[in-house]
Amino acid sequence: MSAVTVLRAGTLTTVQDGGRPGYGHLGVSVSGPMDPLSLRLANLLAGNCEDSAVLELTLVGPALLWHRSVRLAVAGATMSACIRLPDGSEVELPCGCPVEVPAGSVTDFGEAQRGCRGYLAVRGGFGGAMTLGSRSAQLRSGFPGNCGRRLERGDELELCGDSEGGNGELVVPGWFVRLLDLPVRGGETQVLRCLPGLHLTQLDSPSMDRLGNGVFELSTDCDRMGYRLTGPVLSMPTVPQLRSEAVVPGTLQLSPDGRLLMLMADCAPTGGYPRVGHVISADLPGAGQLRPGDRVRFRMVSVEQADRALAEQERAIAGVRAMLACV
Amino acid sequence: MIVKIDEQILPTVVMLGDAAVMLRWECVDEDFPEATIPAIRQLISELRLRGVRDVIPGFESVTVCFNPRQCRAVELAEFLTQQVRVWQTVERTCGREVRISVRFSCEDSPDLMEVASFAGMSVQDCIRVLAGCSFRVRMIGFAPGFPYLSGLPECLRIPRLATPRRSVPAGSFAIAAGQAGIYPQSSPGGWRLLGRTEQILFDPCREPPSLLQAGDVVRIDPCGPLVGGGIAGAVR
Repeated sequence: MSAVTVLRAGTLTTVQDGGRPGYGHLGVSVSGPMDPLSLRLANLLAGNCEDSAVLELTLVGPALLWHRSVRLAVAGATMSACIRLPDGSEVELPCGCPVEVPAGSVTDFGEAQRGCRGYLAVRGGFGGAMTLGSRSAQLRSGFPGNCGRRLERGDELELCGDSEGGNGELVVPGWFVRLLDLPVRGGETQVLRCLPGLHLTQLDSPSMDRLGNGVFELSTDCDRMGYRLTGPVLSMPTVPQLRSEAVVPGTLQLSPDGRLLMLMADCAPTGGYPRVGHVISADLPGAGQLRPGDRVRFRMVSVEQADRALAEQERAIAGVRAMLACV
Repeated sequence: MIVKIDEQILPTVVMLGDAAVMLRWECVDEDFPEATIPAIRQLISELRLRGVRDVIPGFESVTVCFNPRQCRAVELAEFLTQQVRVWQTVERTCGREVRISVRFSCEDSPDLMEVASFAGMSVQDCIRVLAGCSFRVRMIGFAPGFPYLSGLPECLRIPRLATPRRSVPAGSFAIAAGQAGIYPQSSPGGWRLLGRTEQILFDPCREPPSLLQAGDVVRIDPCGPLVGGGIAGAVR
């Protein structure tokens, strides 16, 4: 018997792990989580390697029936979620801590209140097919194998190895960890720090000003490949005619209509539009928590500031690791 | 094939944010050997640098993507610049010749007539010209295994379709804007479809998964009813 049955799939629930590096030169996207920091946190809390396979939940999460007792942890977006125990009672499923759930329970995720994507890790990690060394679903290429798709109702999921967790009792600790300060829906404008792109200086000066001071909004045309932004239109007096070259998650491309296109986890490894900036690695997790309608501004920073921001984030993760070693 | 990287042109180093460094050979002219970039890509890849996740060739660039927790952009950029200076005098093997059997038929070649008349030649002559081409894989992109091929003759430099097709069949051999390519999987596309191959361009279970790599030389072996003088009437 499988370990988990999907009773309701949610808006877009996929398996994601650390991603599929090493094949970019063959046209393969790196994929992996939209919010890598929360994937790592969820895994640490569940007692896993940081890049074990988890479920990435989007906007509205799934309902899952667990056939064995497990230790699980949720990080990232704050989603209303509850555990329905086999005796029919119901308790809240908290975010940011390990929870032991008895066999026969259902975890039922509602809508995201803060952020957009939740990460559900289970002790041992989710199993299933691997393609090119990763279980991350890449919807466009259909990786991996026949599981390269979103979860559907009735799907049966496997866990890795002997993932029995807990002694069959419900255990909810009285603490939680939060690493990202996520805004409520329709809340204030998020600031994303950027490094300049190769073609930044080719913007005309009003466009430079609009990029630095303007507020941009995520359109409805947003997915794991990238976000199309609405807001100020930017222009280049002479648009460079480029042949495809490498792009990375976080790259801000200027599309021919003067709109910004922000590339995300599933972006193709190459692209042919001018690049005006790159969101720094430390701000990609927060960027992965944005949803259509959210507003962003861009602030140019130095490489040193980008390095410091990332080091700070690593210290926070190290702090969590140290704390978990003590509990 | 032996490539001698003896160009005097040194690349400029461009940062792609804090997790990738791009070496760019700007103003490369027609004489810049097409195999230089694939060879440098391979050399960087073989260094197996700590923290490096991908080394991606472009037409005029090589990009090194890395985990910024394991290595720093500034140091990597300096190191790569030095390495490339050393490699400018290196000779090495790069690229294989790969023959791809392409079928030309009414179903497989929907744009062949138009391309031939654009070039002012018969369909058969057009196929003959393609068969005589020595295409170079400049990079793989757009989709897993999709090769961007240079080496298309001047007379076949036809623009993309004004309206892209919603679905191009897997294996389609296509040209546009001075380049040729082969669609590994069914996808939308705006290139002109000239023929189709049964060969699998990308199979994640194969090692290596991609039939082609940057630096390879591709030759077309035509087959199918439109080849030669056979059933010329089939074109209509």
